[in-house]
Amino acid sequence: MHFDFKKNYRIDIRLIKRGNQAFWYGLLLLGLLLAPAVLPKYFVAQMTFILIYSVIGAGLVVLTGVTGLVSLGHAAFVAVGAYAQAILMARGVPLLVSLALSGALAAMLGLVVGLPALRLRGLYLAIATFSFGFIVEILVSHWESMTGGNSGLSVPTPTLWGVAVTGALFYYLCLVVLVLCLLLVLNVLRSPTGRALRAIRDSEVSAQSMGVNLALLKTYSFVLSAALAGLGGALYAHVMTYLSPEQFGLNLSIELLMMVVIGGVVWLQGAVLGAVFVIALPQAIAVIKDYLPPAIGQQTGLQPIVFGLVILFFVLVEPTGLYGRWIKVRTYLELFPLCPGSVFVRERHFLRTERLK
Amino acid sequence: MTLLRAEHLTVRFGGLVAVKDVSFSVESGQIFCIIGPNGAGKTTLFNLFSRIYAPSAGRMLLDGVDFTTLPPHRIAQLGIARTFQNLELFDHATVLENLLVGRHRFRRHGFLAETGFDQVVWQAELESRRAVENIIDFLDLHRFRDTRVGALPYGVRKVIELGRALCSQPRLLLLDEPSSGLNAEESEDIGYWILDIKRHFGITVLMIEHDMRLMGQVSDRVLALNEGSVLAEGSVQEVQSHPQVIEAYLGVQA
Repeated sequence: MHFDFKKNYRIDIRLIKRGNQAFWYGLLLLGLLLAPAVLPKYFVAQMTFILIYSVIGAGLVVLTGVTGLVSLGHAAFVAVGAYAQAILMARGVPLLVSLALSGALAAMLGLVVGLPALRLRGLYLAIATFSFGFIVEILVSHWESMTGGNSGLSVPTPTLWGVAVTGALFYYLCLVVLVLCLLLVLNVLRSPTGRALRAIRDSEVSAQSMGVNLALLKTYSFVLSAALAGLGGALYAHVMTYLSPEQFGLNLSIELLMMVVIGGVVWLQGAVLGAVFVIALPQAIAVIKDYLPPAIGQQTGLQPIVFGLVILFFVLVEPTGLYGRWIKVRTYLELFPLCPGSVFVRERHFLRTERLK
Repeated sequence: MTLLRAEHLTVRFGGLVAVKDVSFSVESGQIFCIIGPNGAGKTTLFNLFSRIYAPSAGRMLLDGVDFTTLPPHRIAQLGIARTFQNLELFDHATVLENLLVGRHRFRRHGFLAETGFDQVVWQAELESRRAVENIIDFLDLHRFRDTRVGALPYGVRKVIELGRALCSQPRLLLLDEPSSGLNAEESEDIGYWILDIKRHFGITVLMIEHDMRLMGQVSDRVLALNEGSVLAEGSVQEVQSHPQVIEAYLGVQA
């Protein structure tokens, strides 16, 4: 069992709370740095995908897990980032500048979408963002002079100081971007703004009466989330090398949402775990397929069915996601053998009063 | 000195008049209690003061500043904090985090400083924690500091909500039924705390209370409402013996 002896307030505020955390995260980072040297190319490419999805997932955690707003149109922000990146790179804008601009453009769009979100909640917000996703998808497929429409748009090879950033180098670029994004989001979450966002999720009316400007902070959450999605999209463009509108349809939005739910929607670690899961599952299905009886293995739509079952499983059995499950396992091991089964019983609310609207 | 002044406040919801031409003023340093049967318009008055509702007529002033049309999130900055009748805590956050949200009105740095978590933010955070620890000391919440609020019993949550309001260092504290749902002992504690809040922090308290014992224990002045209008205003004894108040509570003898 581990006890935290807090000797000063700094221990509570700083990012690394215990020595062993620094060790394990350091080890993880070291492993990630060494990965391209050890692993085959194909794995590195898949890990690049995971890093990119994690960037987008971090944004969704802020929006959905922390602020409690649902977006079914996040693919649109990814699309804007990706297309902006492709178009800017083709115009000769340097890589890092165009990455920043793509993120900024998506953020501006997030501002526009965030405004109606101030009045909508829950299901209605989901529908509004859902239609927004459609609008962007249709815009992209019809604005042929800019996006190439349905015939697609090829993405130039990224170069940085004259060196082509591909393969392992691109993997490192994504890693740096992800680490910076995670640090940024962690800082926001431990600051008053982060607390205010969580306050909005739990009770808007009392957040407001404590001086939280709901309109400003909800918009901020949308903007931050959209910026991260746009940045992720910009990186995504380079992995895909060829963009077409149907890549950014509703499927992607749902896949992204599913990713954070499976990973654990209130933790940033959840976004990363979810990304690992979402990227690894299709691979796992492809491998298992050959061993299954043909009636199942050769079935079309096997992958969506498995995805559907998995998400059903998580929503029913483990709504806190993979990271939530990990916390439980860790606590169990720390307390072993003194961990009573009742520690993790989900609390039920018997008292449900009508909330002040 | 008058801290809060309500002038001819009226609230209509469609055809229903919830508050009818209510005027009163709360002196600085007072504990002012609003009583009245269910549906008298007490909580509606509170929602007016925290600007969740807008009055159909009348105006409200805090220390001479008209806040009748101020946006709701600016009320805390003005120096008014409140608690809610049915608890509006942030259930998924710890007690410490809940209390820290109370400090939100002291946020001085921008979004950009927070993304980098620079020295200004660090200092502000440390300052917030010092202030919050004072309140934790005052309300004896040490044991629960890192517990998730959703897991705590009702009585403790009630105290946490009081603490959260205190963390914003208000000039005027609005307490909506501070003792509802509490047992006799907890309710007595609340009574002492309310007196201490007035004495040590110099905060003016405006509260709605049904528990006549608690009301009598702490109130300097009492306002009785019925069906949205003022029945009586005065000291505890005056209001308690007022014939119309007795009638509103107990009915008329046939």
